[in-house]
Amino acid sequence: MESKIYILVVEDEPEVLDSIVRDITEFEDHFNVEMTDTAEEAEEIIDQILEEEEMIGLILCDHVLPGKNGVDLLIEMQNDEKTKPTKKVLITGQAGLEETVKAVNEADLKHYIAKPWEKSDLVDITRKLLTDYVIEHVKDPLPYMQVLDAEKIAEHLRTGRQITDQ
Amino acid sequence: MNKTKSIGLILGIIGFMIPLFVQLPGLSLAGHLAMSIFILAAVFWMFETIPIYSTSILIILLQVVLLSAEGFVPYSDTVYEAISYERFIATLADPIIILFLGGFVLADASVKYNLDKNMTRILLKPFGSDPKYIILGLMAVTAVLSAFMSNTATTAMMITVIIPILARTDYSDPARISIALSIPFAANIGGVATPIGTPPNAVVIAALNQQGLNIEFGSWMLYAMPLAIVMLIFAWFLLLKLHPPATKVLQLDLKGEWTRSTKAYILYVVFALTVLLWVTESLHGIRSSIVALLPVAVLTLTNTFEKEDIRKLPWEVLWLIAGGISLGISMKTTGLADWLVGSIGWEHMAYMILLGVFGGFALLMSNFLSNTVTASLMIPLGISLATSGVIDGPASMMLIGLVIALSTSFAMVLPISTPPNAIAVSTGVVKTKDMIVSGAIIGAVAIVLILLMVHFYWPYIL
Amino acid sequence: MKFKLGAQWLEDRTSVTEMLQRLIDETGEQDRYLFTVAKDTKIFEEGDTLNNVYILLDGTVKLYKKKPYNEVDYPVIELSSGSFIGIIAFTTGLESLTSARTVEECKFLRIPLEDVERLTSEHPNIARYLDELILANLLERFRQNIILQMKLDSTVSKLEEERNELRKAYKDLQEAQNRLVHQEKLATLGQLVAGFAHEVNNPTSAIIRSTDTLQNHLQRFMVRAYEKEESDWRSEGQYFFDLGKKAGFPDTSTIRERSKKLEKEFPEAKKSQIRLMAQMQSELIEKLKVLTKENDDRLPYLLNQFEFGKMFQNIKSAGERISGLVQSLKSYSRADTEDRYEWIDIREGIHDTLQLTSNRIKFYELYIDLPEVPMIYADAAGLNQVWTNIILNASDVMGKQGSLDVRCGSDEENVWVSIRDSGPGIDEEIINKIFEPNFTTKKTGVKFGLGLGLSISKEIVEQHNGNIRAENPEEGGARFIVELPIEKQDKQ
Repeated sequence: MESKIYILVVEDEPEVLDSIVRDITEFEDHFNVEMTDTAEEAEEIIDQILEEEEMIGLILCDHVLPGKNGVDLLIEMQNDEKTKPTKKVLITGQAGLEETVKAVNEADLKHYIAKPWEKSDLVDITRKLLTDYVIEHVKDPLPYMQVLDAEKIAEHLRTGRQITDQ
Repeated sequence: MNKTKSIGLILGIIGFMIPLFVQLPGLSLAGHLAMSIFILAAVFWMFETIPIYSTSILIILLQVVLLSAEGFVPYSDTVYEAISYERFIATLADPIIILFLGGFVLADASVKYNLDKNMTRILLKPFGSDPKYIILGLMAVTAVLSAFMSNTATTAMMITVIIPILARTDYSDPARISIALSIPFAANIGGVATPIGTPPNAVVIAALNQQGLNIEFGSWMLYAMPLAIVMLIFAWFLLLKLHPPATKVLQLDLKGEWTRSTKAYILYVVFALTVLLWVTESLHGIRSSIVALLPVAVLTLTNTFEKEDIRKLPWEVLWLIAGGISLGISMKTTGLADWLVGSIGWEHMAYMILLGVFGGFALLMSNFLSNTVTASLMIPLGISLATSGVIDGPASMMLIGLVIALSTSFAMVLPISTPPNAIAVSTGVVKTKDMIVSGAIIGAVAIVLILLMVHFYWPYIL
Repeated sequence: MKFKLGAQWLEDRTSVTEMLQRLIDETGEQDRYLFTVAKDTKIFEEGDTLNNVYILLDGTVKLYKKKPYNEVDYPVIELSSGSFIGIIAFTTGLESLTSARTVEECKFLRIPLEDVERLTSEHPNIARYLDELILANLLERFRQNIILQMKLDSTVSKLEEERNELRKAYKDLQEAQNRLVHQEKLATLGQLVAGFAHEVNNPTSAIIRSTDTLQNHLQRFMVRAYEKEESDWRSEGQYFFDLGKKAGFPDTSTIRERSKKLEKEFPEAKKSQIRLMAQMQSELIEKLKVLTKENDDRLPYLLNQFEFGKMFQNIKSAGERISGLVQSLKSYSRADTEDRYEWIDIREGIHDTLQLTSNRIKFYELYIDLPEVPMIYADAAGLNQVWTNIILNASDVMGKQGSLDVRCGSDEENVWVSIRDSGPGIDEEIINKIFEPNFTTKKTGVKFGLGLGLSISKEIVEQHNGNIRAENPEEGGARFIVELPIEKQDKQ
């Protein structure tokens, strides 16, 4: 396996944070899940991860946070070359249209999950986005095949010719 | 760099130094240098200190520098007649390399125009909905495709076909395991059927070529295909026995449409024509590597195969093969191979046991190493064994070549044995344990079968 | 023309008329000039050219003028005896401006114009009296004009007065309507909340109740499932379950720190297990170390127990949060009280408001100092509106950062509440206007959707005979102070 891929979950309510992480626990054997409760803390963690030359595949971010809000965090990540590839998902109970449009336009928001969410939706979205990330940014996607979308990765192997006969 | 790689680096350098400082009786200076290169290559290939194709390129470089007439070592006073550096670098354009290039272009163009998927769709239709026959169908299609395409690409494509089937199968149904294992096994087995099926074939064919033995495309198929067919059927039985499907019905719903563009039609015609010309070589006498230029030329000049596609070709595989061929050349010309063969008391072994040992060793080694690397390391020894008279005649050289090439391809015990195995295990459906059991049985049976063919089949058709 | 100035004839034209009549009699031509006309007889029409001079000797004549558009006559003036009818036409020689009609039986002199010349030259006295009569008549008309002008003037000012009254009445009406709309909104909100609270309370209590039952069942189930196991499995499981219920949530950086440590201590554990352990109390970790030393199988079991406990606690506290919110909503809007005015502790309303606006104010540092204050007789729902308006205004101004300082106190007469934000303060130019209706600095409407903001707040406070004011304190930001009298007031 190459360097580790992180999933970052940013949510200020501990119960909600706990249930998000519990819902995506099936990815935990292959991805590192980091939890933070503010955007500021998330930024610290992002810096640490990048410093160790590891990757952030996905961020699941609450909208309303104390201090800097989720949309602003996502936009900042989008504007930074290093965190631009990270797939960005907003989880929110009450974002207005304006904020959402801003996130879609400026943060390349990949998905919008409304609270309360269904576990299967969250897992599907996480799987889909991590699959895309792995295909786009990881040289050897095989180790991730069993938790992600194996068909998509196999198709990528077929057309992308990452692995050859030896 | 991790621990294994570092150990490889240190061992490789030490190994490289040994022949430089230790005088081996009966081995020339060139032989010593060739041995250094051999040890370095073997260690680097085994430990994957650097990517295996880089090792191949390093081999060619070291040979040019240390063993060629234009190199830095003066050979004027020695028994070794230094050959031109051109022979080492010419391995990159060896006829077998060109044959492979043709195969690659055909295969990649097929992927581009979805010919592989569509053929799968058509070919799987007659197999109905009984899981037993569906597995047979999957294996047959995989084997046929992997005979002309890379085993890995075929496996990846077939995985996209079986994942929807697996998703519809009950989680506890052993059919999941048999289906998931059938693909890599069939891909590995199918690879032996044609010269372009898998790179070890190329290394062996090239080495035999160096000895003046030309193997036609069709003849190779005649030698190897019966083995592939029998092994495929055996593997099918074995998988059904070990993991009998519980469900009675499996629905295949394969959707797709033939790509109907001019370029796609050009591909279909060129594909059919090339394969036809390859298998009928004995009728018209045009060498398969010359035929291989046909798809390369036609597909590129019609822009069916474009610049980006050319860039995406697996060039490193060609380098890997070239390095293997080149290693064989120097081992032969410096007398290293003969010396190595001579230092072991082969004479005491019976003919069949000897071939059995070679086959078994190749199988064992290639379970841990790349198949091509195994073939590259073993073929010079095998050929020397034949030429030194330990076993007799041109036929023996052919036989030992076939044994080595075919044995390496039946290594499918571990996920690391071949890329198709790695892909199958990565789906998470197959446990390594299941693969070890059935892979080991298939390997053992294959060796027995190869030896039977040595005795009862090949001598009569060569 | 020779007049005796200050003469009596100016006031009393009758004598002049009598003199004139006598003179005409003297000429012996009186039969030619003297006429008696019955009631409601038209003498001449508007627009006629007058060929005669009419002098009213007895009776009353009314002059009419046609209205410009509808041709209806309306009375202009009433002439009594001694009047010279058609005097304008006579003196100017133009067409008559009015029509003349008798009101009762009238006696008058009608002298054709051609005879006037003759009579005046033959009888100089007639001419003199005629002149006097004309002058007296003109004077009378002038006087009438002045009176009219003065009447007009007073009518105009009366009209103006009435218009102002109307304007004020309209404004009062509008304010009353606003107030009614607002009260209606509050009432609707109250009903909504009552219904909502009812609807939410039922499922919430269902959840809490089922969870309790589920917890009991689960524990019994566990006991049965592990009956065959060594008995300490059960008691340890119970211990982990109970502590799971008390675990709470450490913050994420603490979890991270603990996880790092735990990864070293439990190298075999999965990441999800480490994450769970990081939430455990330290005594549990110690216990876990001891218990798993001999038997690794226990780890997942114990972690499950812990997580069960945690989840039950989560459900319980989430349910309690919902109930709490509903309770706040209910008391905020006073959905459950009939009479709006009652004896209240204002601090309860402030707490409710802070809870309901927590979504907006959770970003701020809160300084809350609410010591005990006397109860006041007030409309709790209305006052809650006041606090809400002030707090939401502060939140609008501060955005996502700042602090909020809420305190209260009392003196002998009043209870006061002060709410200070750390925003930019209020411009001195507008500080006096902010309580006016429809004043806003926001571009789009009021976010909370309850109406008129500070003007309503002011009105509510004034209904309590209290007062509200805004100021920019020295320490920065803006401060709103509400003072409410402690004595029970007659509610308005």
